[in-house]
Amino acid sequence: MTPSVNRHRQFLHGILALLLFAIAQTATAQWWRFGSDSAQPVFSDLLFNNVSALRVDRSLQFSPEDLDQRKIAVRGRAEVGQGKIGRVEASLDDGANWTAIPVGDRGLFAFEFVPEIERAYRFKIRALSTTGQSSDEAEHAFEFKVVKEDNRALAKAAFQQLLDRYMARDRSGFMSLVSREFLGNETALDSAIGNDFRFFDSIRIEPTIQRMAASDNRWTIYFNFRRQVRSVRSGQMLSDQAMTSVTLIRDGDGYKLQELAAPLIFGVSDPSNVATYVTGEAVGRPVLTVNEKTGEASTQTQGQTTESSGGSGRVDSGNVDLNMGQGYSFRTSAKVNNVQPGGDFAFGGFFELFLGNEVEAAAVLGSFSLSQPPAINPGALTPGLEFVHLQVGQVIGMKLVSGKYALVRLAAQTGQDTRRFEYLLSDTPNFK
Amino acid sequence: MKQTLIASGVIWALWCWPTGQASAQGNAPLPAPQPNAPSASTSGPGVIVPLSPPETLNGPQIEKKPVFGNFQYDSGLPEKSLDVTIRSMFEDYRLSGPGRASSFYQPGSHWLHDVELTARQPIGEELKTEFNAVIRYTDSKRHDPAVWSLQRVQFIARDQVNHLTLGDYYATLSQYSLNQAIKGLGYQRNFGESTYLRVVAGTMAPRWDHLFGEPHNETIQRDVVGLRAQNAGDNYRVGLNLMSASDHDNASVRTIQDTYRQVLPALDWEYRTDGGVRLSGEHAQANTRKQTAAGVRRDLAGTAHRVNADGSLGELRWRMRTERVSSDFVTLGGGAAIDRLRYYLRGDYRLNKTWSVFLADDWYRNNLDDQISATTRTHIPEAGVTARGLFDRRNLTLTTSLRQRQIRTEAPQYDRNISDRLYVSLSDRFQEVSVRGEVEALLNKRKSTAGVRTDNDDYLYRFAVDSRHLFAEGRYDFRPYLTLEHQIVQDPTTGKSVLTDGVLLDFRLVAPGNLTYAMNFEQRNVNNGTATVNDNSLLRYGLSVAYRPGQFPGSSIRAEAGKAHYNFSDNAKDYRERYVRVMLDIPFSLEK
Repeated sequence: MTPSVNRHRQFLHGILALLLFAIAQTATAQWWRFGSDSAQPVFSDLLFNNVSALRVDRSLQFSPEDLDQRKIAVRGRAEVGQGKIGRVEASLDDGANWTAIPVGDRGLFAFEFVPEIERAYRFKIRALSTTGQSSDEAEHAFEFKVVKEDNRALAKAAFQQLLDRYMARDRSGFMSLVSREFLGNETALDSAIGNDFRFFDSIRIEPTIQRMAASDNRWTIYFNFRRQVRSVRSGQMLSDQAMTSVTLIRDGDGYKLQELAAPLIFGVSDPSNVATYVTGEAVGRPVLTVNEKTGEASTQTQGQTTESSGGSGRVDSGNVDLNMGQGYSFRTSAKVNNVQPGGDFAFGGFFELFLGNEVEAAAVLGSFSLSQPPAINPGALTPGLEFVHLQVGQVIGMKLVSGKYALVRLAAQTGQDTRRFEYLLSDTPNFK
Repeated sequence: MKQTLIASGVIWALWCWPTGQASAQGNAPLPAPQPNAPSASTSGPGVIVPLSPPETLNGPQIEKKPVFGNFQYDSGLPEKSLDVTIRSMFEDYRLSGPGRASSFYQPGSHWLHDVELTARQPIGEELKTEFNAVIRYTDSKRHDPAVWSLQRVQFIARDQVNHLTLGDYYATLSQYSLNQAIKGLGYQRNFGESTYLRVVAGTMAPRWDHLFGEPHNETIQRDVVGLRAQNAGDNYRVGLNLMSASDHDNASVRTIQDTYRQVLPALDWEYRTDGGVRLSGEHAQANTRKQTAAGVRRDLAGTAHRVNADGSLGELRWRMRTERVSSDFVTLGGGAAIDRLRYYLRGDYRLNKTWSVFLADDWYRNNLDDQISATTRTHIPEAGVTARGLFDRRNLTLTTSLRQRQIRTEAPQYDRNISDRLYVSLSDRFQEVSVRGEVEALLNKRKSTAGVRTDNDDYLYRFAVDSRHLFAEGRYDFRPYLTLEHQIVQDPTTGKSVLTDGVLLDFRLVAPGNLTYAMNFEQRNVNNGTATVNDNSLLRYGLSVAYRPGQFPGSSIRAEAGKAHYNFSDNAKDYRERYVRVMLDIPFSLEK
């Protein structure tokens, strides 16, 4: 632990102590009120046409397409623990004028209005109980506006906002623009965004939108991007250029992120949990990846699955000494005693190497060191190969049934009937 | 294209099918509940018109309006029109300094022009048609690999019960089965208000020039045909989907990529109870034949299931997600995180108008069918507190949360990673000025097979000021935004700390005459603490002006210029970038 980090840990503890003190001061004054506020009415539903406005904080924007016969129908429900809801009142001018809305037995109410395009309405709503209590007016006070732009422009603006928050390295601001209906794992996305900001710096992304497609209240934006980041760990500037897509859905006060494709533009460190499909045009292109465990950022070839865009970013390496007749399995990471078909490869005596049933295709690639390995060309591998002759220094490339790729090098003859093999195991044909 | 021909036959038969009640009702959306109420349209704009209380809120929660791809042909659009929109961009980049090869800009001047044509024309009294096409010219590979390209071409025809799209179409069946832009046809026939049948067929080629033999960013050629039938009621929706896709054997990328054939049926549903609980889910089975680039064929059969629920219980709002996608579930047109079992639960409880607490738990694992050597399990519990209106200040908000992320990979690749994240945020508003301070600490511990233990902590401090000021009776709208940031990241392997300091300043002024001026400035310094790794600093600043001419509604002109300096402790890597961009967007309406 460096002195600098120790200082920050102490500082953080200080902040926490201060916060606890502040909370304790406030909580002391309000502790007995916990759960006893049920005399105050609250709104449990608030719909503008079919869009929920219950948690709108500052503003709600509609496009003309969101209107239903030029109207907004507001429907909702007010509830109270003690007594009944006597009245609901709504205002479009920040509370200067209130209109009484009739309330049903179960607190349901409805009203409508015709908004003018591009006019900002300061919407407020309050509920009054029969015991004279009023709901908090500030709770549901926001600006409502029907803008000229169509939904295509609103979705485009939301995409730009996501990029701005990401490039400003604002994790919480970014996550507030992610829909609750996110189709990948939103918890994993939150962690991956945090990792991006730990391992990348000076993030710049310039997209060129190729096409936008709409369906069922969603917009999918297909775009070319050019991206540059600086690896915090190595200080190296890394850039990539590829095609990918994002999907946005109408959620509460605007369009929010619903789905991400690989190669990922956000949350690069965890594609297998964040992306749900791969953009075909990006397959085979070098794209940015980061290994969460080491903080190492690099570019790797985008594969046909979300996993293989670097997946964990891991290339496993090792060596194994085999006696004649022994084999080694990548699936179990253990030696096996049967020459065939037990393992991925087995030393058969002299310079013969048997290939087991875990090998889908293979080819001898030549003599080279595994410290600077070339990528495997899957098309050059021979399927169904059962054995090869391998000289010391030569490397065989394999595609395994598990979808992984391996490079195996006969490193040395360590005895009359023993050989040492070195290997690299990767999710992709690229081993760097 | 045999599948497309079959789909065309199905569409023809459906179009000619007697409409019965459907044609009388059309596809109008369900009216909002307004019994015994006066019409708002008679009361003028901006006037609240009270309605009788509705019986329920459940019905309209579920979208019963049959929606159809890219179709935006609503009653608000003119029936007959001819519009041309020109979007142009000029950009010029200048690079200097010994390390200029590191810049991601392509130096020199480049152009991008998009011309979009939209024509609408009714045929007879019932049928409405629309044609839309976009042609692009660019001399920059950044924007497009081709100099000239057809970006979109689409023809839409619609009457009361039939919708047909030819050309570019966003094919949507369900999440697992199909959600992809295709080139081909899409057809939907509505039966009454809440039932429809949708047929899609075409190719997933992302570019039109692929169909003309141009190899720009060529992908596997994949044909798809799909069918969806949906029925919805006041509190339910159910959809049946069938998708079939197959890759061409003769594509040139076939030798380096795997190819597939697939049939995928799926069922999706949604149900809302009277108590406000919303349940939804999808169940799919994928039968796939995979042929590797090396020519090895393998049959894969996999299933995917997801069930989501959310609702309220007094002051408690809760959400639940569960999903199981097997290792061999391959979807060629839909989306899913493969080889995953996941449970997620979150509850938000409001203690009173100030305080609320939340608890969340996310657990997921892979290797469901033992296809890889080690299983990884991830568990992320989180607890947090939010207080709004502390100390009688309406906008003073405190948010704090503690999250633990445990990732455990079993032997033989044993690896255990635990990260504790503590997050504290405090925000307030002083008249027009909003301020937010955030502290985030990430305490990481890791132990691996090799006996390697690492213990590294990361800290992030961020302070942001955001405000909006109106001058001259609101004619000038000034919006400054400032962010200060300090980050300490400990390198997991060396234990050295990397320090980053950043400041970002953005001014925006909206002035009379539809003018918007903007200026931004960014400075960022990184100190690596390791002699072998370069420290660096970044300085960027830019100016922009945007104008929306009143004479051409919907048009805009924007010009921006800026400069960036990248400096490294090794001066041989330094470089500078200068740019100028001008963007123009002009729609012309040729006929109305």
